[in-house]
Amino acid sequence: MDFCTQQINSKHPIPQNPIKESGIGLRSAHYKDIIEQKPDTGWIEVHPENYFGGGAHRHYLTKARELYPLSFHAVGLSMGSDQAVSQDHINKIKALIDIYQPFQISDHASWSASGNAHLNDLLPLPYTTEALQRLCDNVSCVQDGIGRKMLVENPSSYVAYQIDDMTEYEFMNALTQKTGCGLLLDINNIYVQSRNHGFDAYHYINNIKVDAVGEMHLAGHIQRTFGDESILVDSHNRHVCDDVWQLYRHAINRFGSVPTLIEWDADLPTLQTLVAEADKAQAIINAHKEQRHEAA
Amino acid sequence: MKLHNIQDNFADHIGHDETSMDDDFRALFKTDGITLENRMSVYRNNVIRTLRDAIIATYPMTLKMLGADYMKKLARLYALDHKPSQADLNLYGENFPQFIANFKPLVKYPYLPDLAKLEWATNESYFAADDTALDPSGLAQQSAETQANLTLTLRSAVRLCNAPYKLDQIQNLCANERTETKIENGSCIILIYRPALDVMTMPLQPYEYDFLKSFQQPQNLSKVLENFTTRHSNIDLAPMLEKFFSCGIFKIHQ
Repeated sequence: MDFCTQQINSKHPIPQNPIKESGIGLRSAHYKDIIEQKPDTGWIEVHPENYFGGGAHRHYLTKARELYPLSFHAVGLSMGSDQAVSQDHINKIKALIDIYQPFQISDHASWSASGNAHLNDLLPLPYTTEALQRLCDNVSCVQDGIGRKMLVENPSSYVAYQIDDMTEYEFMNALTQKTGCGLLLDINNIYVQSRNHGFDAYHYINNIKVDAVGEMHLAGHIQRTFGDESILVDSHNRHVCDDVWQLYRHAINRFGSVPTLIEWDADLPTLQTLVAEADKAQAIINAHKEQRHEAA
Repeated sequence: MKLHNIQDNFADHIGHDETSMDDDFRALFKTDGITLENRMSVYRNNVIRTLRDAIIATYPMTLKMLGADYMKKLARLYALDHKPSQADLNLYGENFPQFIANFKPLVKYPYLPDLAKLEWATNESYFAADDTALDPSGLAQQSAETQANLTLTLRSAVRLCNAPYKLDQIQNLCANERTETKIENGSCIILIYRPALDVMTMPLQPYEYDFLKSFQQPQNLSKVLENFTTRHSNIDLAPMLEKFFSCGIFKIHQ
């Protein structure tokens, strides 16, 4: 797939993707370093919710946009909630989209809001037809509100529902089919889920629709122990582990060289360390391109 | 169980310290090895820790006054009782000053709620919408009639804090990393404003506060000056106006 000429036949066409596929997140601790050092990264991801106000954050977002393409990765739309998405939230994101023209907009296949409370975590959905319909309704509402196709990310989860009607990959594929949205495939989340719930991560990836994936995420995780048992927690606070890199190579071979983000949100490293991690992803993408070139 | 009920139950379990789980809810989940309570605790920790950390980040002076361990526990208690109503955590913690005021173990530190109010005002100022300050040089070039008809208001990032304690003294203690907690008697009024990216504060005289609070709603400049002169006939207007115009705290009301 060539990202510079990619054409999406959709109600909500995606603007051009960046030329260099690997990207990093814009976190406030790195604002000045990114603006001053201008690291060699393909693009920058931001959580639009951090920029609803004015002041310093908006100033640095504007500076970052002058240097790099942006991807908006929302964390607060709560599209999996059994209630309508906040129109005010959609409007605020749309206002930012109009200004900053991100090449990608995404959020998660999860929920956070219940009634008037917003729980600020990506809570798991049961993979039922009822939940799928609600998620589809909300994704469509967001896409209509922003006037663009969006990507929806597979979450990490620490519980599994007994009442599932389908697997997660079936759920995500159905979502793309019903709404025309794309997928943001989080490779670490697939790995964490496979370990927590006992499935084959490669089987998951092999069953995701090839043309649906518009972006990938890579991140570190931690292990939390309860007696003799342990659970993996998607913590975004360390390097990507070897098993996840291996899974990512497989994913790149299947889905092509899609934009890939290193997610590192806690215990932030230096900017150089973050960029070096993104360079590892870029090296895998480049190797895939070379292989494909040789094969051609 | 319908999705709505599942999510209500789920939110209830992870939003509070461990609550009993009814059988219908428990039956929704697969169980192997790790108990459902432990699995739920991962979510609870994520939610409460995120909210706790948001409070700690918003109230740095309260943190210094109370110490990190105490503040973490206090912020956790607040998070358990106060879930945000929106996803924007930059605006989470508005009721923390009142929470401190009602927290009996802190009753011997009566200035803490006002200190927290000052910090909340600072937080609001930091994230306030960007707008354009009145340009005093441009104003000077306007005709007397235009100036007389000008309607002004305070910019979005301006807040006025009127407290019965010497909060400015506490600000200095915190800024200088000093730990004395004996605060002199007396009140103070503080102007919070953001000329560009950084939030600034400035102590105000009571007559300055009287002047500025008129502009919390859009007001005709001439009328405010006229009324102000009636109340404070001994105050020289020119230096006061110059000071506030140069701070960029006014905007023209459209």
